[in-house]
Amino acid sequence: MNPDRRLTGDWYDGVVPENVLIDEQAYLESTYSFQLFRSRVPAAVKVGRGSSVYLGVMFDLGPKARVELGDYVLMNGARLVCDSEITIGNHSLLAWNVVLMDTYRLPLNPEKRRAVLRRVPETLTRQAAVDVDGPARPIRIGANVWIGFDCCVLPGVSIGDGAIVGARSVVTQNVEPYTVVAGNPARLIREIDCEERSARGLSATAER
Amino acid sequence: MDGVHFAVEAHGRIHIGDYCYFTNAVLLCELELHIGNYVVIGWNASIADSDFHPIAPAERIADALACSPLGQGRARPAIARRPVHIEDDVWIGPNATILKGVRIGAGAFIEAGSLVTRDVPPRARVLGNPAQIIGEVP
Repeated sequence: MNPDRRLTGDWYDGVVPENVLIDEQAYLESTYSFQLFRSRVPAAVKVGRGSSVYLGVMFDLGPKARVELGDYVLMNGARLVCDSEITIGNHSLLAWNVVLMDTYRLPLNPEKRRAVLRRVPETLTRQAAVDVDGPARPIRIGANVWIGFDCCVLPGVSIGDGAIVGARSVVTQNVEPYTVVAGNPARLIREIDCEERSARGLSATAER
Repeated sequence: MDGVHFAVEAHGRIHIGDYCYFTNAVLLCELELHIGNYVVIGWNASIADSDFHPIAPAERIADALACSPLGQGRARPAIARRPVHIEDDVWIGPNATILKGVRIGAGAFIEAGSLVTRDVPPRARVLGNPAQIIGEVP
């Protein structure tokens, strides 16, 4: 990371926040990904070795949020709406327009929501107004997971190692390791058998 | 209103009430979108009051010709359009889609990624493609 925390060739005039730790061998395309970043915890975002965060990825993190990406993670347009914690394991691939949300941000009860929405025009930063201490439930994405485009992962969901989530799925429940799920809401399509598993394991080891 | 996309045709009308909070919503309007007060719309959610093109193949060819640079002001065939009503206190999640003619009742909760093709009763919680009622809001 440059001492001024700017990226070379960045189209957006921003800096990488102090509490964001990007591995020297990871790639971050633009600081625009931190336009909605408001976390104040130390090491709020960690991006591991060989991971890529391309244009369109948005770290929409509340004041206490934490996000950890493992090694060789690929993201090209996911939106992380996070108030508690989102972790993504090694070698996981997330397609464009994927939404990972560990929180609904606003109260589910319409009457309580009104009180928060009334405060929005009075607050200088719009996001600050919706940073209410609502119940957020962490999202855990295992290693070697592949999530197709336009998917949504709802609060509290864990996705096991090696799983595949089909495009446009909405994941409302935990996904078992080495399974394929798809649909809205997402359902089990099939299991990935042992031969396929070991072939994956071998190629992953060879890469290292 | 943050990054909201307004695609409004010549005769389209959009009404948005008080204290709404939209993030990158996509509003596609050829007739009428009526959105009440305290409505929240999540990132990349779309609302459309039109099919935009006819269903019948022959009419669709006529529409493609009329829309083309060679259309020379040729009239477009009739297209199905019906107004969309989003009542007060509705929450629409990211990546959700609301189609033409739908009325979403007050306080309803549209989960992320839902595709809403039919009316939603007040305070219902819906999810899926097509969206189904999965519960009620607290």
